[in-house]
Parts: sequence; structure tokens; C-alpha cells
Amino acid sequence: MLDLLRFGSDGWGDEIARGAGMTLAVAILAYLIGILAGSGVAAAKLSGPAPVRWLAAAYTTIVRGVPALLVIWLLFFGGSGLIGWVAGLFGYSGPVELSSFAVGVTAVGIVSAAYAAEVIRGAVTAVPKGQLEAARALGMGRFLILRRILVPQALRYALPGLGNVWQMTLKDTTLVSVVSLAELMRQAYLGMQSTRQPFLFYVTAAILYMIMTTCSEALFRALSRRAERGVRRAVNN
Amino acid sequence: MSSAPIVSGPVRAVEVEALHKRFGDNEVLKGVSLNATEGEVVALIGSSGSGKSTLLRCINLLEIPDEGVVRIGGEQIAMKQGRHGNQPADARQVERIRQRCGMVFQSFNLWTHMTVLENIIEAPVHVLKQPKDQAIAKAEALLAKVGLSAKRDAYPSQMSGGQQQRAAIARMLAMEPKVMLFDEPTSALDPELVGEVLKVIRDLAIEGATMLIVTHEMAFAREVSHKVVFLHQGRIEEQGTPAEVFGNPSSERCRQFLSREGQR
Repeated sequence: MLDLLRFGSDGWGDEIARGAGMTLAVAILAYLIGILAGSGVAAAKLSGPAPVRWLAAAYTTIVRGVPALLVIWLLFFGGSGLIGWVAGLFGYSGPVELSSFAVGVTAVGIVSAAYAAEVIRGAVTAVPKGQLEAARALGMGRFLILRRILVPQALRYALPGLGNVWQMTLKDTTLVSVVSLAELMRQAYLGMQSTRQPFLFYVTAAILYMIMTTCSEALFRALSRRAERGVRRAVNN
Repeated sequence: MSSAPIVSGPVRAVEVEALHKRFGDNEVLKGVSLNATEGEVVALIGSSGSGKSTLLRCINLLEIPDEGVVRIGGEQIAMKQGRHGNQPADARQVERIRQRCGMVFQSFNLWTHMTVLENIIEAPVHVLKQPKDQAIAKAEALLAKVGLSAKRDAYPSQMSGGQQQRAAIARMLAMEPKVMLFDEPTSALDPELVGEVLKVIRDLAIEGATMLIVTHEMAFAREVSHKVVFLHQGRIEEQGTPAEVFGNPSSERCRQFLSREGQR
């Protein structure tokens, strides 16, 4: 039965491996969007002018309040409808089809950013005021304080939460299979359909997801240890 | 005032004129004027809530005064009316003023993610752009001066409060400030650790540093300061030499305060 997972034209090994690669690509890109946009949304919530604050709050509330699958559908069909309408204004009336990769990354990134924003906002608020005042009192500028004091200190509080957001983002990529992107879940489904071996293909996919999540968990633990220098030692002494 | 230079009149290191500060409806400073000449040690005393810490924090703009003028070394801090009231007109100027105005906090505020040495060289390297090896050499000299050479690579969480405060003083000294602001530097310390911090501050006073010290240590204020300022409800009630203020205060409130503090 395991022959079915052989690499080459008569096995599913290479399709599954490419699917896993696609899953990682979507997850990593979406997560990067999540961290960058999430930082922006957190900054808007913490110190933006009132209308910007309000928009940021609406964004996190809505995106966290609706299923990720809905965001994907909305972006895929709503997005192509919108672009078709804009193209129509310029006299183009052909069919509009969005790249499912781009839509997948964007949709999962939008969801990831909403959760990351909350984690980052909480972490920034947790940094004691005195740590920043000491920096201001020494004549450090805003950007320098951000880079040298605020980010390293906030990272301490943010990393466990950001690790969770990563796991969630990785698993949310499975939803992108609904727009026929050939990621791991989609490939497992196709393999299962053509061979009638659901157990084999889904267990294989499960194992691959587990490998990805446990490896990244170890990575986050290492990052946390590094960010918590100066704290852990005191606790463990 | 004996140590202030008399050549062509004393040089004004800090000048504060008619400072007002409100937090909401609560007016914490109600028109405070204060001067410190170069080399002068000024002790700010008064009960909690009298506005002495706020006054100190207005001098390096950690709090933005609502009205009034602050001059450091003759340079006036430019203010403008912004959307949220009085605002510094030039962030660069504020940063420059702060580089010349060191501050020591009640809660030390050493950066917890850096070792003692990293704390001390941070601003010299990144703000003053000093070469790192030069900053390290100076930091080591300062650590020796405050008696912490052995703690060079320790994290703040591994040190006692007294050690942390001495390290924080070394961090301030690394910027070679013209004026030093001490905001209740020993109030968060266990009684047996107060002495080691006061000793370091006393040595700085003897070396001729210009200092404003908010303190509840009356004996210390009496001993090291040239001028004592007593604040009450956002106003200066009494100021003079330690002998005048402690020996023969003219204000009834100051008298009451000092007797509560066990100084009369």
C-alpha cells in the first residue's frame, strides 16, 4: 500500500511533497503579512488618531468574529467580482480569475494579522513605562527606543502568543484548498480520491503537519529563551 | 552656595520660571520658579503629592508643563500650542536637552534585557555615537567608581536594589550630563541599602556636580545640599540654605513637615 507514496509518475510522493512545500510557502508568507500588518494595526490601536483607532478595532473584531473560510470565499469571489467591475470601467469585459495562491496568502494573512495585532498590542502594553522613560531621559529618539528597547522587551511577552498565531496560520492554510490551491490538504484529497485510500493519505498529511508544527514549536521555544535573557536566569537561580 | 563659581556671576545651569502642570482638573504645579547654578546641589523636599517629582520630570520634559519656561544651561526649551495643549516645538532639541540632563529614577529602570555593561554603553554608543571600545572602557571606569566592577556582566534581576541604583547612576554618568536629576533615588530601597547609594551621590556632590534631588532623606538633604526647597501643594513654600530651612523655617507648614520627618 505504501507504494502509492513512491516518488515519480506512478506514486503520489512528489505530489504530496510539493503540497507540503506549498503549505509552508502559503503559511510563511501569510504569517509575515500577519506580523507586519498586525504590528501596524497594533500601533494604530495604541496611538493612532481616533478614526484610525476605530478602523483598527473594527478590523480585528470583524475578522476574528467570522470564520476564516468565509474570508477566503469572500476574497476569492468577491475579489474577482470587484476587479472585474474595475476592469469593466476601463472597457475590459473578459473573464477575471485571481491566482488562488495570491488569494490564499492574502486571506490567511488577513486572519493572521487580526490575531497577531491583539498579541502585539497586549505585549507592548505589558512593557513597564519606566523602561521607556529611562530611554527618553537619556536622549534616545523615538525610533531608537522602538528598536533597542520596546521591540526586544515586547517580544518577551509576545512570543508565546505569536507562536500560537503561527500554528493557527499554518492550519488555516488547509482552508485554501477550497479554491483549488495544490497545498498539502488538497493533494492528500486528490490522492485519496484517485486511489480510494483515505486512511493512508490523511494519516500521511497528519504526520507532515505534525512535523511542521513540532519543529516550529521548538524554534519558538528557542526564540523565547533568547528573548527572556535577564528574566529566566533570575527565576532559575 | 559656597562652591558655586563667582567669576562673572554664577552660571545658571537650570532655570524654571512660573511652571504650571495640570493632570486633568488637578493642578499639581501652580507657578513654580527655581534656579540652580553650576555646581549647586538643590534638595527638593515636601510631602507626597506636593509636586516635587513632577517638577523634576518637567525639567527634562518627561512631563510637558502646561505653562512656564525651562532653560538648561541658558538654552530655553521651545514650546508651541498643539492639538493637545502645550507641546515641545522641536523633538530634536528635547533629545539634546535630555542628553545633558541625566536622571535617576526611584525604581532604577535599568533595562532588564541587557547586562549592566550593555545598559551603560547603550546611550553613549547609539546616541552619542561613541566607538564601542571607548564606551566600554569608560563604562568599566564608572563601574569601578560605583563599586560594581564585579557585576559588569550581570543582569539587573540578579542584583540587589542598591546595586541596581548604583548601576543606574553609572548609566547616567556615562552621558557626562551637565545636570543630574535624582527622583527619590533611595525610596524603593531596603533601609540597609540606602547608605551605599547615598554615598555615591555624596561623592558626586563633592566633585562639584550640579544636582536636583527629590528626597525624603532629610539628614542627607541637610548634609549635601547648598539649597533646600520645600514644596507644598504645587507651590514653593520655603527655600534657603539647609541651615535656614532646617534650623529656622519661616513657614508654619514647613515647620510641621520637618517635625513629622523628625528633623526638628
